[in-house]
Amino acid sequence: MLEARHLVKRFFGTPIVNDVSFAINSGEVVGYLGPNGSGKSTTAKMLTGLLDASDGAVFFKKQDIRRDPVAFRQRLGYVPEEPILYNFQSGTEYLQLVGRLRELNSGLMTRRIAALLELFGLSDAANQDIGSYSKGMKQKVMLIAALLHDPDLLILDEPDSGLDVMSTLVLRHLVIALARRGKAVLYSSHVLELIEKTCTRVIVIHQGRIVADDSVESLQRLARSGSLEEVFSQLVLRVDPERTAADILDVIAGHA
Amino acid sequence: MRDRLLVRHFLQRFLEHDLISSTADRRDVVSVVGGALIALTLFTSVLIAWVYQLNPFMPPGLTSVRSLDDRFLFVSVSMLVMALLAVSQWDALSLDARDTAVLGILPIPKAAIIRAKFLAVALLAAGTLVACNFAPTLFRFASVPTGLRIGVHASLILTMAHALVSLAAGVFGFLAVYGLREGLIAVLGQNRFGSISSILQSVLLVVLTSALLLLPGSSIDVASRWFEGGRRVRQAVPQVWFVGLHETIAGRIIDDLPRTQPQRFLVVPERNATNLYRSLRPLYRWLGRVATEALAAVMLITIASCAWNSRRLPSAGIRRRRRSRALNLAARWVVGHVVARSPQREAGFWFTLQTLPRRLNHRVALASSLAVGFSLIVVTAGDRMLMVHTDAAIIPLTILAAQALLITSVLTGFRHAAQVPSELRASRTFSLVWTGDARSYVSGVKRAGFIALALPVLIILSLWHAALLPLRVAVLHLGVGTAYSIFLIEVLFLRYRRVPFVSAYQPGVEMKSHGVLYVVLMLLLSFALAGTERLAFQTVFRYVALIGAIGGLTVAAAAFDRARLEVPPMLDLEEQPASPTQRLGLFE
Repeated sequence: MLEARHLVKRFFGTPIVNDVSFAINSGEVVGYLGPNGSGKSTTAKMLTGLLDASDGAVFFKKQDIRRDPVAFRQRLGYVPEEPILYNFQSGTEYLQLVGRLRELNSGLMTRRIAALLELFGLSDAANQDIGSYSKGMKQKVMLIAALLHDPDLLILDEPDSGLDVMSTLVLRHLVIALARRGKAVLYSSHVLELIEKTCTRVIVIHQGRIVADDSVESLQRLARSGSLEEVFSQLVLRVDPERTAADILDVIAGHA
Repeated sequence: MRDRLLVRHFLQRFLEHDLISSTADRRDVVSVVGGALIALTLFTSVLIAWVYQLNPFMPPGLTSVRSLDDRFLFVSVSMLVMALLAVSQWDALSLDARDTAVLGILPIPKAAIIRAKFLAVALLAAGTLVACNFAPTLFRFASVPTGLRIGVHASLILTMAHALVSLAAGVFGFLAVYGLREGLIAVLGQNRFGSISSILQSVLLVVLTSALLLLPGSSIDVASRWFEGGRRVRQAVPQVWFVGLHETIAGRIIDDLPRTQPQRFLVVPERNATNLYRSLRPLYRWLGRVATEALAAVMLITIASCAWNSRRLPSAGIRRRRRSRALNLAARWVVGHVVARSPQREAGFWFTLQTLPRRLNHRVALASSLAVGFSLIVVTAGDRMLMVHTDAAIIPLTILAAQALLITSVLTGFRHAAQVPSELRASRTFSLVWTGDARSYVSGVKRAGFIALALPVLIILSLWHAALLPLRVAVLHLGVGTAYSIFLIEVLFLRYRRVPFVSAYQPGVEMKSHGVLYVVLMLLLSFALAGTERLAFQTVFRYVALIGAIGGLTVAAAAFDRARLEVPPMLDLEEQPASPTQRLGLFE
């Protein structure tokens, strides 16, 4: 359904994303892993068309998204890494704005907003200013906005950030259920356990390049313990986390 | 050291303002605003001093009466500028939840945070007060005719009295707003105050800006306009109290000078002026007492309210939008079925209605334009604003032009507000869902502008017109106003190729040169329309022709705009908004 071909993004000549290619099919949940600054969010923005690639292209249903960006956006649901919303609006007002801009039928939109706010546990705060929302609440609003028009493709950039345990579990089941209904999902996250339990395939990116792209099972076989955490450590971590923690402690205590 | 850091932190936070671009250099902003304030007051002081220097033989009586005008002007400037400063820093006048979140977790006593905040507020006020009053105080000695030999000591007293009264007036202006805000928070509580805060701020902004714009006119012939004849209502104006205080302190210095024989043509005016000035002496004393008591009262209220509100550090309030469910549903039905019958149009309509009252930038644009329109009406119509006119054929043009003046001013402010993004970072929402067809969205914005701004203005003006003019004329005038508003919105958004309230701000015409030109054009257009209207009210045919002509022009403007839609509107989210100094073009 979605294909990234040799994507490159350079800022001031420095490649942040370098020759990234992969495809996501219908019914597939692809985990996108990588340390901070590895280029995950930049890739996500290029996939949505929010950021122009320096090189390469993104294809949706075999068509370059630049040819008909509006048609692409109509089938896309995107949750960005940072939930930046209009703080002076209430949750309901924001979702109504999104629904209207997506040209949803008024009755359908109202029903969906009310039902989704209820299901995400936001109905009590629906008429509060978004400025007074916690990060998790804002994240839920972004999730609802991404799902409101029943998209074919979902790009979720750290959607679990700030969510409570219950909401994270709901999200996990929701993503799996969406995939069962034929949606394609790209799930970028730092929570390895979540990726392990939710995704069928995992792409690991490090310093702008893909260092692994395989099914969860295949990657797990690579590690002795069979955990994704160890695979991740082997692929991208250049330092010993335990040693770094000890060094930090030394700095705080004033020994270093 | 810690206290100084905290004060500096709070002073910097005054510059984290919605009206100041996040990319602007803070030092530039301070120097440009401070420099502009000093330059304007310096220019006015020199201009006023020049008048006295050109009339070296102006006798004491005339000098005393004339200097009332100057005192009124400077006292008013000091008071209004300081009050406007407090209004512009409305939300930053007290600690907020962000301060609690950032500083509350640090090992700093609560009292130190509160003390630093008050000190920062006091420093901001003191700095502005000095910038505002420095030049007028410096040039006070020059505002005495050289023919009146008053000596160095008397000059010094005049200067000191001017400084004292202007500073007191400024403090009063600042504390009146500050005290009002804190007093209301103390009485209503933070949450209830939050629901009326932006309305109150906007009302104060309109009133104070109008007063400032009307100041040149209202500072002429102050003795007879504001003091003479026991006009208690006019004497309720705070500036008058402080002028009275000044005259109580230093008025006798000029008035008690020995009278010499003035030039022949000045004999009668000098005698009248002396009599007038001396007849007002008891009033000055009373007004001076009122000024002192009022200043003490606002100080007391402000200090007590601040002390009460500072019992604990503020926490984040939850702001609910309370609206009747039935009313909400009815409004949505009417908008969805009558006003804006497509989702995109509805989006533009509601987003405009949400942005205008809730964002400071947009409120300031609208309040300023309302104040400009209102001031133009007061200046052009003057006393005729309250006269009843029964003959439709001889209704003053100034009364008929008022409608077009106010509508043009308010809708121009609306057009400017539409250029300013609600929250640029959040405009990404639009990029993700934008269909590329801005026509419906912009149409919704225009309709919101008509319903939320033009219509209320038309209704309020029509009530005024109904009281002054024959009912038939008032109704016909309302019809023309409605047609003109629709036409003007079309014209103002002609060739508009951005997404209102979403695209990054792009400065349009240069304000310092085009602003005056625009006001002149607005006056010409309004009076031309008023003249045409007065003719059109005489026969039904002429009236229908006028409405038809405005309607035809509206349709033509809309058709012209559609024909030129080959350039699609742009979201332009990647552009950085221009800094406010560039907007004013003061560096060019």
